[in-house]
Amino acid sequence: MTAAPTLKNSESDCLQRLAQGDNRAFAELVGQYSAPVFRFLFRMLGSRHDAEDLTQDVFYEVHRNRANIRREVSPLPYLFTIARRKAISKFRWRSVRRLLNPLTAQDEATIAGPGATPRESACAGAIEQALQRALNGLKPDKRAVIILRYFEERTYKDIAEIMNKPEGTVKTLAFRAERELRDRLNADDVQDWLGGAA
Amino acid sequence: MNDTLRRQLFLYVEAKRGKPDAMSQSERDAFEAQINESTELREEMERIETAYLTLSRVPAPQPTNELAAKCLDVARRAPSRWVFHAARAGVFTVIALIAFGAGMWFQPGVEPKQPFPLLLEKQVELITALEASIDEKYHLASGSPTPWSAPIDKLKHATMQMAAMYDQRPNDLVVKRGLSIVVANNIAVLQSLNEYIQSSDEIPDFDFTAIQTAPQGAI
Repeated sequence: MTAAPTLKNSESDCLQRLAQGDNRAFAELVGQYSAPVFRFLFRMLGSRHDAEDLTQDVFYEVHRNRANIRREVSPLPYLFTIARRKAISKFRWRSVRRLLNPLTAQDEATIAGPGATPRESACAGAIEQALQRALNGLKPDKRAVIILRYFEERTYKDIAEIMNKPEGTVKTLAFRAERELRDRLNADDVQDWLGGAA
Repeated sequence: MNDTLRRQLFLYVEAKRGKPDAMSQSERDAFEAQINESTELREEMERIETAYLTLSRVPAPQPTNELAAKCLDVARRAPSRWVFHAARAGVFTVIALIAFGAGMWFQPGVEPKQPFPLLLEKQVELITALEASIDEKYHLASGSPTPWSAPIDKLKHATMQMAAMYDQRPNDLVVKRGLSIVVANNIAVLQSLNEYIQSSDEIPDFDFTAIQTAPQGAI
């Protein structure tokens, strides 16, 4: 599981400096946050290619709208808000494409990172692919809440801000999403992974 | 076990696993007593914990090394504000010219009330609207290359070919009906595309596979 970046003053200043026209702040923002944004989009979309494209779109949008960044906003929730919107838009577009061309093959997820051993890659691939299949079965909001809570370790307050929903609603959504995800994950596979990992 | 209880249990497990924002300490203490009394709750708690453990062992996907550089590059290539305004003015001018040109193009030899010319005219309108939307999404002047430029050009060319084919054999029912079916399909697809693009803030992926750009093949 990925540790959440702690929000230091310099990090929250990043957006403010960018809003004031400091281009170095944009480079810092990209350096610090392109990976979490990519991870979020990857798990939302199940496609490395789409995730990389949309990560670029997210930072393009931040740069384009830099003059309108609000003073109180924190970088990661701000970036995840844009990323989530773009992911949902992508889902809509995918459904249009499926309508136009029902035979379009679904994107394959490529998980293991560079430098992984073949065994690690195979194992990571099997686990991750089963997880991605289960995630793909969830509705976008449930998928987003699982990713933000479990993998990006955001607080419910952050998630509520990102999803523009009350905190209580987000907790309920997380609870329902966890149950659905658990049902979707093949129980035998889970036992195998846990046995193999122990 | 009802959903309210399950929800509480889920939040309890989260709090127990180091996420204090899920449940306050006092709520947690109160709920613990309930768990101690119920085997069903304890079993469900184990299932949630197992799922938690599983998810915690899934490796995080890693971006490629070039991703950050690409993000910086995309922003660097973004057009400045005056370019955007100039581009927008250019787009509107070009739309007006295309609309005028399309009008001129359909004037001679087109019998009103004929379904095929009307369909073709509709297709041209939709292509023009699509092109304008795409250019606007990319914030570029019309004519600047985007991933959609080549396929849109191909579609325009195919539309002209269809018009020429119809002009050559206006009384050929096979031509007329075959082309009408092709164009009707294209109109449906273009309408969906236009609606999607207009309702979205995104630059969509290029996908023209459902649009017929080889009119001869359909007859």
